[in-house]
Amino acid sequence: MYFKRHGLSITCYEYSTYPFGPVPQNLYNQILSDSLPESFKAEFKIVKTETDDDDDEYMRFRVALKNAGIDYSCFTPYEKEMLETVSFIFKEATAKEMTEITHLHNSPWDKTKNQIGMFKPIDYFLAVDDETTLDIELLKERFDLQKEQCLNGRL
Amino acid sequence: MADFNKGQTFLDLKSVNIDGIKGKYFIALSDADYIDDEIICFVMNTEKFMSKYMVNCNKQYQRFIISPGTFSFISKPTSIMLEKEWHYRFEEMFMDTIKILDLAPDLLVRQIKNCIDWGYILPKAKKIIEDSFK
Repeated sequence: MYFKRHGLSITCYEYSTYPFGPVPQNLYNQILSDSLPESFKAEFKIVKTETDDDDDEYMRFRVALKNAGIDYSCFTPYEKEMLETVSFIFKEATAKEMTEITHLHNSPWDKTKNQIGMFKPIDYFLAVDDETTLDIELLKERFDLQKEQCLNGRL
Repeated sequence: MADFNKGQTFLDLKSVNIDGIKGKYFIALSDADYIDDEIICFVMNTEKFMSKYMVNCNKQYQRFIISPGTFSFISKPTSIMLEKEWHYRFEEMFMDTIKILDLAPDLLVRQIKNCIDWGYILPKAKKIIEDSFK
């Protein structure tokens, strides 16, 4: 949603097609190997949760915040606005419902899964649709600019 | 007057782009006095799509276009890309990989600052810029 509106990513992560939806693979691997950056560890911990279903082949995790007050200063006003929009949309949604939404026909996840396969990177530009007001050149310039910033650690 | 002034342009020779290491030109929009002061900068790129823009502020695109000759090192129309700020430290300005260039006139620096859509800028960076214009 943020990319198609502004040509930028809030997280700078590359997302891949996982069974339950788009997953930032780097972050996922850091969670699995307990090697999250210290700045993340200071804010939250990932807790493995039990499941009632013995046949469930997937591990379940819960994000537990360590502080009552969340520091939003690492977000720009537009990023905060988007976080509020997304949290409003999904505030009552279950994990299953959120998964179904990411799997909708012609969603970036769906297109990537059908065209390239599972566990493959999802091209941000697949999010571009009729609601996108910026032209493709500008989106590309902004996205490249942000990638360069990430490479240079200048965020 | 600060030790490092807003409007200072510089070339970062060690900047990495998608194709590898390539120098990038920047303009600083904040002052610095102390070695660990943060400097908020914006990158300058040669503009390939000039037909879309006019010289000076293009707020809806977050591009400030400068004409050739505005700075001694600018020979083609150039975009100052305002949708993402870059953070440097004053101490980095003394490194061999940074080449200090021209100082932009105050009027131009204010025009650039007033072209920024603050929705794209971190609150901390906004404060540093605004404090430099007080």
